[in-house]
Amino acid sequence: MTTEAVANPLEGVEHVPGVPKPDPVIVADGVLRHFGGLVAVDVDHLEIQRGVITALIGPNGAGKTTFFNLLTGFDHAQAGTREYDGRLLDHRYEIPQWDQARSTIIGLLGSLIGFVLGAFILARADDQSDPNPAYLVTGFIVAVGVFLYVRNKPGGPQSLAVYGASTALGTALGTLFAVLVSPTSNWFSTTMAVGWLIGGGLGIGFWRWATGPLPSYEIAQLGMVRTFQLTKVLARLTVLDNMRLGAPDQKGEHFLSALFQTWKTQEKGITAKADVLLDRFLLSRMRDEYAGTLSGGQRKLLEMAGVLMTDPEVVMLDEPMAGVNPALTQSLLEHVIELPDDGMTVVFVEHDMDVVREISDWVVVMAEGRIIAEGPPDVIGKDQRVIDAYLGAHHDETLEELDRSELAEEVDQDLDEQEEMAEEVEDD
Amino acid sequence: MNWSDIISNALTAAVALNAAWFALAGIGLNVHFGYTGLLNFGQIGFAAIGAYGVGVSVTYFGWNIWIGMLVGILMAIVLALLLGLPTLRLRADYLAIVTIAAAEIIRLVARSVALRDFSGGSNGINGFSSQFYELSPFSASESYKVGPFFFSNGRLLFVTAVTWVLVILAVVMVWLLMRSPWGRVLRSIKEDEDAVRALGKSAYSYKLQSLILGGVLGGIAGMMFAIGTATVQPDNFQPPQTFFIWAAMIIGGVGKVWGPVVGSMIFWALLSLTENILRPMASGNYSVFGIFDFNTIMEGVQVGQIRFMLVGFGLLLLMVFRPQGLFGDKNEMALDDN
Amino acid sequence: MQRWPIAAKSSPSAVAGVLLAGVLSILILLAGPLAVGAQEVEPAQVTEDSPFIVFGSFNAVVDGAREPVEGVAVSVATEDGKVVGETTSDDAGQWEVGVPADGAYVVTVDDATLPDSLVLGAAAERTVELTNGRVRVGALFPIEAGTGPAGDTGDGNESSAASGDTGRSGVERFLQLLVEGIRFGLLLGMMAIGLSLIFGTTGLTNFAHAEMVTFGALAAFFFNVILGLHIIPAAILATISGALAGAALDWGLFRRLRNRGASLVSQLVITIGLSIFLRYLFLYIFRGDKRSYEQYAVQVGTKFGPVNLTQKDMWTIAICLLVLLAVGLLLQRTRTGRAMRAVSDNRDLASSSGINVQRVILQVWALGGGLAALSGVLFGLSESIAWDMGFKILLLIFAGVTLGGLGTAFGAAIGSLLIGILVMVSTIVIPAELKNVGALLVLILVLVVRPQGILGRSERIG
Repeated sequence: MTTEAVANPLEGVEHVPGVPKPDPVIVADGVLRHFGGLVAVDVDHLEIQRGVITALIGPNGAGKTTFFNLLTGFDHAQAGTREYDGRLLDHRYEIPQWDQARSTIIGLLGSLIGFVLGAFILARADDQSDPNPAYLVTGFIVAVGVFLYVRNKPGGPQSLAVYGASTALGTALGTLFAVLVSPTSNWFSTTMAVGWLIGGGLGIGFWRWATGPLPSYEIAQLGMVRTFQLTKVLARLTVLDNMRLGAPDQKGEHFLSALFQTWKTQEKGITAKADVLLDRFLLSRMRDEYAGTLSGGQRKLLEMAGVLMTDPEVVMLDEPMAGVNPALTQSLLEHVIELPDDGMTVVFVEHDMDVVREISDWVVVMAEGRIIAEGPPDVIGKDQRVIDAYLGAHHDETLEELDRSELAEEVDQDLDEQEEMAEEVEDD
Repeated sequence: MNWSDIISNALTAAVALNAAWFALAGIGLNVHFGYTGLLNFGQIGFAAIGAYGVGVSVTYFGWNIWIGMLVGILMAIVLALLLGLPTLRLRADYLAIVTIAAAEIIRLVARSVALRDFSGGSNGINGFSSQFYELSPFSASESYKVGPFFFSNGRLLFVTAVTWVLVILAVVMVWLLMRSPWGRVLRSIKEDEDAVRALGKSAYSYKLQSLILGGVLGGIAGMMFAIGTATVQPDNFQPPQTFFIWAAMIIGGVGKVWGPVVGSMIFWALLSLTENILRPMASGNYSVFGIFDFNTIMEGVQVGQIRFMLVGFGLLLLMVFRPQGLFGDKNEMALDDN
Repeated sequence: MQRWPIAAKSSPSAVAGVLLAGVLSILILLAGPLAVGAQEVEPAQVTEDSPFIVFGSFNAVVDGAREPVEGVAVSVATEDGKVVGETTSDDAGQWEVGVPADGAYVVTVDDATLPDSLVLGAAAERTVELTNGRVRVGALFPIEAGTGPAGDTGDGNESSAASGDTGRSGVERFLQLLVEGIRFGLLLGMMAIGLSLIFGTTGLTNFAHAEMVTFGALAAFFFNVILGLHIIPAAILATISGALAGAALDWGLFRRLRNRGASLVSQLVITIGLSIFLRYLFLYIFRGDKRSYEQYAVQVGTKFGPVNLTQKDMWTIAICLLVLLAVGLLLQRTRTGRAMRAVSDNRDLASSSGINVQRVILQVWALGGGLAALSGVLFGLSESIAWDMGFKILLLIFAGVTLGGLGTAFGAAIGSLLIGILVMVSTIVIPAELKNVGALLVLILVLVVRPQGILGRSERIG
């Protein structure tokens, strides 16, 4: 237990699934993911307390990894919401509710401007009737003005989304209008099609961007960083480069800065930080080797060290001990236990109950996609439902057996997915 | 057969305009595939859009050739955005199919009768390059011999030299970029996109940047080819050309800064070599110990065909036995593990 | 946990069965009626003179009435600008120019020869194509009363777009093109299924698949013209050769690469090398000429209502349908087919449940090669046989496979059918020379809107 010295923040929290926590950093609500007819995850409500170590356990096929993928944006749920640190992850911007009237007016304005632009562009392209260029200039000034006005208003981004989409739609409509009223020309159908395609494509793309879920990399930038069950280190990069890659806000990752070599100073700082971490994770010796030469356990260590390079707030570890030899396991565990002391929250998926008992402050049990129990490890260890669902099923199996049955499970899902393709349409 | 002529021809081919613009387009392809792992099978489309950008700007719109070159570069950027925005989120093979299709669309549309006034139909565009050659310090009517290399006139020498300068600039640029954190992200994306995303980098955005950079290099290559031949011919931009650029890149070594440059020099030298060896065999009476005459198995017109058979077969053998390229490091099999 | 109760064995005879069904259907279908058809139309047709004709008529629409325009000069040239014939329209406004071979021709009207009161309603130049066994093709030039730029009511635009054909309504033209599109699409489908199955089971995009199509046509040409066999046994032999060649490619090359752990990308580049090599080998052996089989080279079409079809077109459609049906049955009903699908779904699991994956892949290559060869033979029946006939439609095959969804056999067939129809029917609105552009654009749009294709499983990253 890591929090013995401090008062346990989870003291007094009820041991029931979906119970509210005093200071949740992650809140999942009604998250549903199914592959065809097979429900992989169906979580009514889950809160994860900030600054403690939470273990996610459950038999194979319980949907732990899928749930992990959903939380970190590597998979998308069919329903439900996820919040991280008070921020909704399912929509970049909420669809306007704050001031529908204003959104509508802004949207209409956008369409109008787009309309004039579209008609103008088409007429120019055809060299036919030539609207006064003043239209174009005025349209442009108004467009920029609206953009600047809306940008910093509360809920402005939402309105910008509406604005952008409607401008694009307006452009397309304006093009169509110009076709209908202008004299004939060989070029009309072509220009119109191009106008529609570009206008519509931009509009749809912008709308999806503005209202869609945050992509995985942005969730990582917010501070929720994960590792993978099958370790992902970059075998063709050196261990040091693997570490440097994790550093956030690198100047040198911008094209121009990279070209004009203005990143060297920052890189020194990053390298120093990486060296400290490599030292702590006992990888200094391998610093300049290719990561591909590391052993399985060393890769796990490198992956975790790489995650720490990103200055995360929440560290999500997917089976951090899988395939690690016993000698390294202890070292890994110690690193995990230290993380909350640095203010980080840890969530990890694990099979081994001993590991769970040793390091976690709170345990969440999943079975068949649902959360069936929550509580401190000693309580969960005695919970009859958990024993039935989880320990009873797989307690004595070796890891290899588990892996094989998991593979079979995945294949099964794949097939079901294919067979019920029709249902998948709604998915994208 | 005069061996000194054959070798001199091969050396000249290795530094000629064809090798230079292939090298430039190959560097672009190397940015795409060698560093980022993007399967671009339409590099010739970027070359075509660059060539038409400059040709149409000058002949149809009557603009200055330098503005035309800017237009060509802009068009290449637009093409990269059009191709990349929708497909770079998808599996790698989708980009391959979309790029090869787009390259064909560009060629077919440009050569269509409907656009004859604009892009010259199947005859292409001529007469746009004079402004470029006004800068040439060499005489257009004289031939030049630079070391072992022969240039039939000063214009050719000038455009070839300019293209090689561009090649060197591109090599330096790619070298600087690839040793920067930006290049580090690209190389990581080639290996495992999800790992890059998990660390908070937008793989999508970097792939798009890579597509644009390589596409622009392809566009400039096409421009220099067009200026060098003083014509934009739609049928110079057929899909197999992309495959030849791939072949050149692979010969030199994928993911090596100098790979495409060395590769295209070797590629064109080999083409010249086979041409100059086979051609006299087809017409003359060279035989093996007086038993077998080569001209019984090939005629003059078939020399080109045999050369391309050799290209195809060579590419096949290279990929089977040395996928890392002729000079690549065996331990760093650039094409594998993808 | 075994999804496929097929277990250890899957019989190679099933693949042979499908191919046999294919060739048998050719025998049964072609032997009787086509032979009769051949007696009726074939030998007499081929004279010294070329049967290929480009024709048209000039009619001015003046106050709603059609009036023929006489004495308008027309010239017909090949695509590269060689003039092959010139003429002027007769008193009925009709004209006709004989051309030496099939292919695309550019028809140009000298608008200076039009009466002063009239102008052309569209460009003075038009490209027409004599393909798919058509021997006559019309080139239409709308003519309007000439008062400044074309009508200001918006009406003129429509009429110039719609008045497509000589005396044939738009609907008739549409139906004709639809049927031609179905034929073309079915052929593409046969090619695409093999490509799709190979992709499904091995993950490999085979760029040399087009050469397997060409191989079929050339092999049939060899058996038919060089060895003097009738086209039907020649077609059967060509199909078998194609299947053997496909199997040989897998056995001799790709199996070894897989076993060595070569990456998919390097295998893909190898197929590109192979494609270049084979294509120029074909050119070397076959030369650059366009040729046709001894039998059924030229047939006069039969009218079915508005649709004009030659008998070989009909039999092509029938054979394609039968073969596709047989492939469907193979995949759905037989042990071999289910093994193929199992390997496509998950190779490791299929392997661990006792399926001999290597053999299944070999069978898929054989099936793909055989289908490609057969479609090549049929394609050569209607188009001319040439060294690059397959490569020219490779992108359309890709388009069909992608449209249907990468790796699904059924999807590939449906996708190809749609592409074939689209290519043909789109010539109503776009110039024939751009017909492939439409198909490729659709391909790109589909990827944007529904990347997994019509029937593919959704598999998005990011």
